[in-house]
Amino acid sequence: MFKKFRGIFSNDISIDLGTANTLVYVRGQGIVLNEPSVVAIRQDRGPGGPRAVAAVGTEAKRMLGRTPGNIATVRPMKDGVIADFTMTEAMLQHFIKQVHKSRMLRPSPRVLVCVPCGSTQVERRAIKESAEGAGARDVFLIEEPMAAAIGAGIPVHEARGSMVLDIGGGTSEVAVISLNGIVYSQSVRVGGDRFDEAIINYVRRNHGTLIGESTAERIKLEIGCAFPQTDVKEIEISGRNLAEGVPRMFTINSNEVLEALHEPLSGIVAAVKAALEQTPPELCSDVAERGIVLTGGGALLRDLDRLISEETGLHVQVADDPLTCVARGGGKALELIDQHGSDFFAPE
Amino acid sequence: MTSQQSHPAGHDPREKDLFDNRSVNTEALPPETHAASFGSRLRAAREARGLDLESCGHALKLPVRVLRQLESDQHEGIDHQIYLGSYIGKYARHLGVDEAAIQAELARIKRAGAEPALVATGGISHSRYLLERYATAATYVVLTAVIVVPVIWLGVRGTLDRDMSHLAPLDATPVVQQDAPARAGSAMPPVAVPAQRADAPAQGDGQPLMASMAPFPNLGSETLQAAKPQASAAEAGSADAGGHVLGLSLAEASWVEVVDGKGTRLEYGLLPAGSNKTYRSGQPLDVRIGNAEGAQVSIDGQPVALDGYRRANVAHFRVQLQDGKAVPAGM
Repeated sequence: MFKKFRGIFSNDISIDLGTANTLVYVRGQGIVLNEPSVVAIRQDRGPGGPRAVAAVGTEAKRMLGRTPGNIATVRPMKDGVIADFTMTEAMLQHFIKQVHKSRMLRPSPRVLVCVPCGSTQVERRAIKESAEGAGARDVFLIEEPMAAAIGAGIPVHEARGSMVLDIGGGTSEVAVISLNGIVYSQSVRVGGDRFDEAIINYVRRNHGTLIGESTAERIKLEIGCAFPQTDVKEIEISGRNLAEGVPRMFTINSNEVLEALHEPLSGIVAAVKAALEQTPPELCSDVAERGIVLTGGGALLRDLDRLISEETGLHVQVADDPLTCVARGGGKALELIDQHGSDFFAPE
Repeated sequence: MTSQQSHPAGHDPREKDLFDNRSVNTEALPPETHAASFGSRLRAAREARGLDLESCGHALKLPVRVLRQLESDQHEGIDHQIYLGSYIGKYARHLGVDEAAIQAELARIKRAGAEPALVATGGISHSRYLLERYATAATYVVLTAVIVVPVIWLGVRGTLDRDMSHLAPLDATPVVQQDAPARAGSAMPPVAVPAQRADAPAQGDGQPLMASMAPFPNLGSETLQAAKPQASAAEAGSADAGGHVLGLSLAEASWVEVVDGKGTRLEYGLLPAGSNKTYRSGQPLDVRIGNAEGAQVSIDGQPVALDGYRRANVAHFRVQLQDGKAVPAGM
């Protein structure tokens, strides 16, 4: 009852609860929050002592790998689903508070959370309960490819097939959508995190140097590519030399990164090909004509669309502002849910 | 993935690099094409490069029909911004059209083409959804209204509708309402009842008597003072008619009942301490005194000892007429 009362003073929000980043779309305001899904926990008085949230989001990410003994940085989401329930709840609570300016009442909004289409019932239930624990009045779930398609501007209600590939931090989702529903979907646990991991492993194997996640991500963002480039870029980075045990500077180029990313990218391409094989012929013909739409942060990897186009023989386009497609699509779906109920997009 | 290694960009002579923006040749186009539509600019650029639609379609992985539509500015079927913008952008870059012109055209498309609205298909209508959503709540509201409103109405109207002036204390009503009109020699004056008596027939017998916290009818000195002249007048009337005189003097408050031979109550009620009353009558009187110890009785001026008529503290006797003289007798 009190949640309903507080709900009067809260805005409906859509949350893209991603492995790497969490985006919050507030109805009527747009994307108001885009922060890394990282929580820093402070534990004083030794093991077993009281734990408190030290930082959330960007501030916590800055601490990643640089924390003293009493602070631990946690990434509560893994592979698109909850890995640490308590931390996820704390993080959501923090973000929900952050997007509500009023401090008089604890916000109690209606929340739509995007979930990977490959997530299990247990994982979905965990996400729902986590959002409820963070203060949400009602929680709706929507599958990420559907939200991504809506956010990208694909006419999902048409009786024509559209293929969307959403490459997130933990998972990549490929789906064929028609008539407001997902005809076929597949989720592979390959995403931006796997790209980082692949770069770390490559550098360790070929340069004998250990680098951190943040460094790997910087390499990916600055010189990462998915298709051979005519102009080769280089970046100078530092890491701990495994043989000498001391920090060393070294240079890595874009062709090396391409080689490092070969394996995770193959997984994504294989998922797209499998989806095309499984798609009914009528819809497959629509997809062949319209092409594939890329969304998610992974779509920003240079020439990824070109790689998929070459591999599948289809036209591939990257959506405008692919990083926020899921959250924006969730916000639009909230409006439809408000009018027609939650049965359209949110199978539980 | 193997293809990316075995077929690097530009390896196939038929394919142009889709992302190669170096060959911008719009300056070489005839000046009249700038003023033309973007579709005609695309065609002019393609012809200037010596490309045909099939090779462009193969390079872009797009159907030739779509490219033909783009060149003729007929966007039916591909009019959603996400697709149209991508097709035009990639085709124009493939043909080496000026990037500024491409961006201008994309901006125009973005402005012109609103994002597709979400349309509910195959579900329930909005009105039915609202009905299902609020039906339960509406039922509760209606049921509550049906039950609660009449209860409140009854509660309010059932009590406040009555005129409070009609209420009469149970303990005083008999004296003032019943006996006062009938008696001639009663000491109880009709002081508190004129309005009640006028209203009494209108109320009807159905009007219930209600207990009240209203003060007892004033039987104090003021009432007695007001009653004295009337009582004296009554006594004078009775004396003129002959008979005996019963005197009653109360040192303590006592309940008293005096009934004449016809059954008319001359006195009925609680009299306060210090009351002195006389009753004249030509008929026998039944007298009942609740507190006999605090009462003194005289008949025709002769005091009467109540001990012989007492049971506990209640005296009950009859004033009889024997040989023209009034005498007390037990009952």
